Amino acid sequence: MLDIKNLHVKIADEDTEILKGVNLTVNPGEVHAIMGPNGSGKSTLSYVLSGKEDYEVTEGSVTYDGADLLDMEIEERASAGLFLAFQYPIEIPGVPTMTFLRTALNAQRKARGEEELTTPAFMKLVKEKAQQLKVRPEMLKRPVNVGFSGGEKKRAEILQMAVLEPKLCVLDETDSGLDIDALRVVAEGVNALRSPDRAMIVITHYQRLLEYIVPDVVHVLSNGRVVKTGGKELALELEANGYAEFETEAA
Amino acid sequence: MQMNSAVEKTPAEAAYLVAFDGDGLPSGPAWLDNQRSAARAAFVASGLPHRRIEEWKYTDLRNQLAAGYPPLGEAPLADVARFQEMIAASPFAGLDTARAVFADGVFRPELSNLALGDDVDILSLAECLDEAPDWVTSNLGQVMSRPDNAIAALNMAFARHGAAVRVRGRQEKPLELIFLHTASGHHTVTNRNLIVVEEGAHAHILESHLGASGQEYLANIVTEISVGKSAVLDHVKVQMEADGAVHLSDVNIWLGENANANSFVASTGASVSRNQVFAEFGGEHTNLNLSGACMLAGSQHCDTTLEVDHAVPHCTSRELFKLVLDDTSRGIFQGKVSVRPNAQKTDGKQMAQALLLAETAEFDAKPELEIFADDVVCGHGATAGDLDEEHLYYLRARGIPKREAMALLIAAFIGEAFDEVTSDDVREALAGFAGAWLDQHTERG
Repeated sequence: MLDIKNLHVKIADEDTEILKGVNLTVNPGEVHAIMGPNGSGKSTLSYVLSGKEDYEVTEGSVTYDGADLLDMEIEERASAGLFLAFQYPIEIPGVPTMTFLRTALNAQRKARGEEELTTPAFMKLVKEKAQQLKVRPEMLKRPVNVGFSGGEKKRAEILQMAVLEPKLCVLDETDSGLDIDALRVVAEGVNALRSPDRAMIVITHYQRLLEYIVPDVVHVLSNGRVVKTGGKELALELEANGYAEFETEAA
Repeated sequence: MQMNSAVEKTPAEAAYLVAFDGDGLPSGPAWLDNQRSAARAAFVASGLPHRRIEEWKYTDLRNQLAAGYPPLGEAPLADVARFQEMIAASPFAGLDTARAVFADGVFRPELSNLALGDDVDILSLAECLDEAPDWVTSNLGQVMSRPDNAIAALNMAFARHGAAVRVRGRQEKPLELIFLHTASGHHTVTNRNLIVVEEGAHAHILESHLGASGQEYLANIVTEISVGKSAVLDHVKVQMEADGAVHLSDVNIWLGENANANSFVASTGASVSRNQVFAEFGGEHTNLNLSGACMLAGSQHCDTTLEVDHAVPHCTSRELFKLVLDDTSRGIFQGKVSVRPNAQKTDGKQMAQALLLAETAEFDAKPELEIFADDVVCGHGATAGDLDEEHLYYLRARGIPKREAMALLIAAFIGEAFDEVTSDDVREALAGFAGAWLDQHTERG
């Protein structure tokens, strides 16, 4: 589904290289965790996959469902089924959440040559998913993320994911800022989306989230490279020993 | 301003002066003729305003009116079907309203529907003057009258037609005043309206100004509004003049004790437009809310100039104006708030915000607070910026194409001004109006 080969990335207008040859293959149905210390390039990787324009790919390739992902516009990637749940979801004053969700869903459906959803069908869908994720109806009446707490923002991201039903979900530090109850709700929401056709990349600093979203593969990203890959037990190892070993290795 | 008298007349000034000497001027009754001759004398002395007059710093009519715009005589009546088509294009077409229609300046009863219950009197100004009721004679030309104001002076000199409206109770539905422009050639069309809202009454007035594309007229429109004690005014104006047209307008509002007035203006039309609002608090515990939105492209120029006079204590004024400016368009906001020495406990806030969609667009903001009382809360602010890249990225990351995402964000920006409009139906109509502009605009690229 996703094939990253020797990916080198720097911040546009700067010389500092952040990703220094990342290799990663994700197959349908798999959940991959990417762990690593702060500054290792985890968030950069997620932004580059989504198409954020502040980064420049200097070398390497990313193939998604057989297509050259790096050649696609931000919105084309989303319509092709790529979803990034942001670490810091932003507030957009004046854009009602429901308008935003409906516009996004119908734009994606249109791009894929599917029928747009009628308003009643859309309302029903969102109501159902919101209930599962314990997103209060009042939240849906507000502008996108405006006045939401940190935890509410994260739940709103997962709600968007549930409504848009992407094929590849990238979760960027979805656990940060969540208390244990919120974490459980979010993890349940994510687990409900696990399916044989859908893949997930879960980016996290801590092992805690992986107790709830159990990965098939764990990668350690350090200093812009994947330095170790293993099973879910690798996460426990990291929890016990920290990242020190990899930081030295990288330096 | 005597500065002009020594200066050579511009073609536009010359055309007006020629018209003053012609035989096409409105005349009678005597009480109005006095005002008309005073207005003519004022214009002869001042000429058109220009940039050396502080209030006209950014809108230099001497320069911007390159041609003469002689007043339009009785225009031949265009095809009624054409007028109806234009009326159907009004943003308020879908609302249940009474309407008074003026086509090329002239009241057209056959296009109008004045049925609005016993509590509302709607008169055609042209027809009522010979036996004008007291509420007309005691107010017309006298609500916030500015003899030195060129727009008002020319309007008084030439205006024959308009609506005279008296509201004595609660209006059951809005009254829409529709001004259609179809005549060709450079010419001036002048209309004057008078709205008198009596004690405790609630008026709901909509104005739409619609021009047939390609026409290059100058529309001069003055609306005088007197809001009585404990009365409520809802006033919403939409300016969609033809691309090559000029729109010069005064809205004069006088507010009695305990009154509430809400006046909104949206502008997308005309090559040059100026909306002046002059408001005065005549009684205590009164609220005034002025707001507006303008969306411009090409080389359009839209000037909003407000003067709010806190003449008495315990009054509140709010001003919120939003501008979306693309290409080389220019938006101007001048907001003057005067607080007289006795007007303690005045609460005045003013905000003007521009969204610049191109580096070549320009926004000029000039707040002016003149505060002579010491126990007041007054504030003002102005911002200018472009669309937030992070917002755009977030929307696109959810699959919304860039143009659609931009339209969503622009609508959100401008929508904050629409929120000031009290009627849900009218607000929805305005959102549709903004949406139509955005569709047309983003399609054009």
